[in-house]
Amino acid sequence: MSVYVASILTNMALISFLALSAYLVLVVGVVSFGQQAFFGVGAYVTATVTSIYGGHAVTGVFIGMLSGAACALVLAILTARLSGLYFAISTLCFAELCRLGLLQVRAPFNIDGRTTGPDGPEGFSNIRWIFEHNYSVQDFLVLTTVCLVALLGLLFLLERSRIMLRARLVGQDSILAQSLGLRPILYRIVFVTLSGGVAGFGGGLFALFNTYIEPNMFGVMLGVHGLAYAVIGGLGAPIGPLIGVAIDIGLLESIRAISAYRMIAFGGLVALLLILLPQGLISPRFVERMRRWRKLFHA
Amino acid sequence: MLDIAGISKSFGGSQVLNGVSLHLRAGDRLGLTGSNGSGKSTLVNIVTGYIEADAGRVTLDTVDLTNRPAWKIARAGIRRSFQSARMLQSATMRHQFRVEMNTTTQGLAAIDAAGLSPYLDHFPSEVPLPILRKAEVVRALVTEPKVLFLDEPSAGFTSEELIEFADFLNAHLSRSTALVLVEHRIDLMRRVATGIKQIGSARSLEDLEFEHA
Repeated sequence: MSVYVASILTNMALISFLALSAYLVLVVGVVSFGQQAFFGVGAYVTATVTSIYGGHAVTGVFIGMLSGAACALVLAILTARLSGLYFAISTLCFAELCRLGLLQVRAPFNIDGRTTGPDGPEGFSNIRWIFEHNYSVQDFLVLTTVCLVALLGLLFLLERSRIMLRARLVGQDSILAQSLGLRPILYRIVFVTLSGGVAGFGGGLFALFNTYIEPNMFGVMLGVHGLAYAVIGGLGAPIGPLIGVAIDIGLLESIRAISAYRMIAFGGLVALLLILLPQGLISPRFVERMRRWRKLFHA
Repeated sequence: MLDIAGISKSFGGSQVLNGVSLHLRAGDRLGLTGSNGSGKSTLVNIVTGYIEADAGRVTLDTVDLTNRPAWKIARAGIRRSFQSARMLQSATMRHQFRVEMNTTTQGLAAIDAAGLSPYLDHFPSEVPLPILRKAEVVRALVTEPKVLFLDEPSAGFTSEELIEFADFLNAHLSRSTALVLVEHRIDLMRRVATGIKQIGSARSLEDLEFEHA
């Protein structure tokens, strides 16, 4: 596999973490325009742990994940009383606050003759863990894919549990959920926190892979794309957001002839899909129908 | 058990409820009626935590539930249905009950009696209304609630469906549950209720004479 193809696939896998984090928030019935913040926090923390403190990548990504989750938890608690639209605006503000905050952080370090560490708009360069440990792009693709598959496995387990059913109920009909004794805020806080962890994890891998990060990589457009993947993919199963990623990056960005028009094509596609399939490609109903058919085949 | 004392509520300038008091014991079957806009649903919404009362108290077994959040009241054992049958629309009927319990255990008999068995793999929108209404009751009953409020469950029923629904309630309500049936249809109340009260012009509850079926 060529380095070019491997890096495209790795980028697809990395942005899938962001799409899955947007998915987890959408399940509980709110929209977040701020998932890129948790992705960025995960990236910066992982970069700090591995490049400045010389930590192992696993430690770095793990702490990156926890940092993303911690930020999300704080945001979820602060916004606990806000309804849909106001929650969405708050997440956007929070993400911009993080990005603008990171632009002000200038703490360059000189390690082994190389400048690393956060340096405001100049970014965080020389995140060299994968070079130092001789990981090729192809190796990193395998690593990222394994992580993504593991995450999907966990999400499928969650999907089969009563927790997910209740979260969906909270997301779709909060009035009914309350009458059944479910506390909507609790589900929102838990799922937003989980989403922060997923985004932070993906961000950590992103930092390792990219070897250079800067605050403006984690702008609104990144979050909007992650959200769009989850929306067009649908809320029926975690595979939905991945299909969204595959359509945008796999199809539109990678085909040279249309890559210049990617934003137009993707925007148009999102609009079209929302008109034709407002529930997304893999909607909850679609998943149930598949289950029904599968049962018919087995019967 | 459930004690509702002096509940008052006004919206804007109009007094909807004025000192409504009601006491329910386990096994009570109360019909609650009144003309449109008389405040029946408002009373249910206040007791179940969806609207805050201006004055008055709601206590269940000495626990003060006045103006508590709806989910807390539901956990305390006061369950309700809504005027339009509310279900998780994206899930099949089987999963509606999974929110509360395992369908493999105690709920199976009630689900079967409700006529739900052929619809377990159907979405709520594909299930006939009378069965959906029974499903709502089943969903509440499996939690063994202390009080169950049904808000106009017979809306849209034919006479036969209404009799069937009444029989279903009589067969499956346990003696430990108090039922409040918010209804316009006196025929349903006559089959199920042991007493009927109405919200009258004084904006409070008054007894209504009725002949038991």
